[in-house]
Amino acid sequence: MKKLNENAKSVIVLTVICLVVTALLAVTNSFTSPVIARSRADKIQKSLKSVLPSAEGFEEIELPEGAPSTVKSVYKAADGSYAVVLATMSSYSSGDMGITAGVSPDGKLEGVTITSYRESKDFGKDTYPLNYIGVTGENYADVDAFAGVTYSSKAFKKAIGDAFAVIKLIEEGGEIN
Amino acid sequence: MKKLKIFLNGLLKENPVLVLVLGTCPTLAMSVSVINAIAMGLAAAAVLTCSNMVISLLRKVIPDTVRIPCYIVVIAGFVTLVQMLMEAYLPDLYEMLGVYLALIVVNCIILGRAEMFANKHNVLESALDGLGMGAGFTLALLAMATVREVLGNGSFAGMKIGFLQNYRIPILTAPPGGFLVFGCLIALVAYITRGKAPQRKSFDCEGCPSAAFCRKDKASCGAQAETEAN
Repeated sequence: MKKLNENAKSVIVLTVICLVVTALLAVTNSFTSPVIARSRADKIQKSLKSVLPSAEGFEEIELPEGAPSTVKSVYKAADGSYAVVLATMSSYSSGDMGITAGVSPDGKLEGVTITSYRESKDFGKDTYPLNYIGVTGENYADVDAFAGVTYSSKAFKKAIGDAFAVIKLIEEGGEIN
Repeated sequence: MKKLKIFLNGLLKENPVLVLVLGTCPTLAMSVSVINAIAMGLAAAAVLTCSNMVISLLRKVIPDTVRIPCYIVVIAGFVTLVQMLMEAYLPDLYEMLGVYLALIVVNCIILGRAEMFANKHNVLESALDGLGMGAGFTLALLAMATVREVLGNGSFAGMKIGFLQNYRIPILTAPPGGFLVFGCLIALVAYITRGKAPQRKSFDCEGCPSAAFCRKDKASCGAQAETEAN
């Protein structure tokens, strides 16, 4: 009976501690989540301008059916260029890598930036993406991976391919607004 | 005076990194730049102080059998709290610390102090221990990062030092350099604290922090070992 009481006490104490911690986190989340969402939206707007500096009037368009899962949102500018916001799948790493790719109306990659990268070893996040400037949907796979950080660079290459794939889907199927 | 001693212990005599050799992973990873080191040190110190206080407050309520899961829940709660606040109000720093911020949950210093100190002392003493150990961790990180960034990268807190640009030692910013500086700092602290640092008296059961808990089950433990041997 004493052993049963001890076990019950252990379960109750652990459950109560978990509930209190959860409540505390829920309260914190309620006031930090709007700030986090605002700062993420600002970051996306900044990244759109950085990959397509000459483009204006970005409008978010609905993702077509069958869009790759790495594509989070697509924006179309007034001049016909596209900006694709991507997040690589966490299966390759400890955290998603955020990427924004800008594709000009003639189908070439005009700019690309990494918005978040949570790996301990950097593959040159400011320099490696520059290798992809000017590539198209046909030849993006020719860029080499980065030695020593092959998982990240392969995930990056796949994301660039997905950006071209989603734009092709949108253009073939017509815009879905 | 006793309270001041508790705080000061963490700074040098029982420095968690350079004397107790705890929290080595974040120390080596985050000591490449001074800004990262300070941010990591302060985040860990905040979690350490808060978790020490809460664990000390609950020490008479938490049963021995579930104390480790309870400590982990409390520590993980504070780490998530710090993560949320940092992502909301210090997003650049949050990005910089990356995965190591979440890894504070499994930082040995925090669980070690909960087990060795907070569950045996009152709230004020536990808070002082957390502050002292946190300050010790931050100072150790800062010292390592200063050596590695200044000599390895020719800069301090991101500011370039002109005359050092041609005399950089790049290996110091790489993992082997981290171990090298770590070893040198441990040797320096051992020299300064000659005989004053805590010495492990024995390596048997008595030397283990869980000895008191383990002893309760010693009879059953011995019986089990015997059965397994047979």
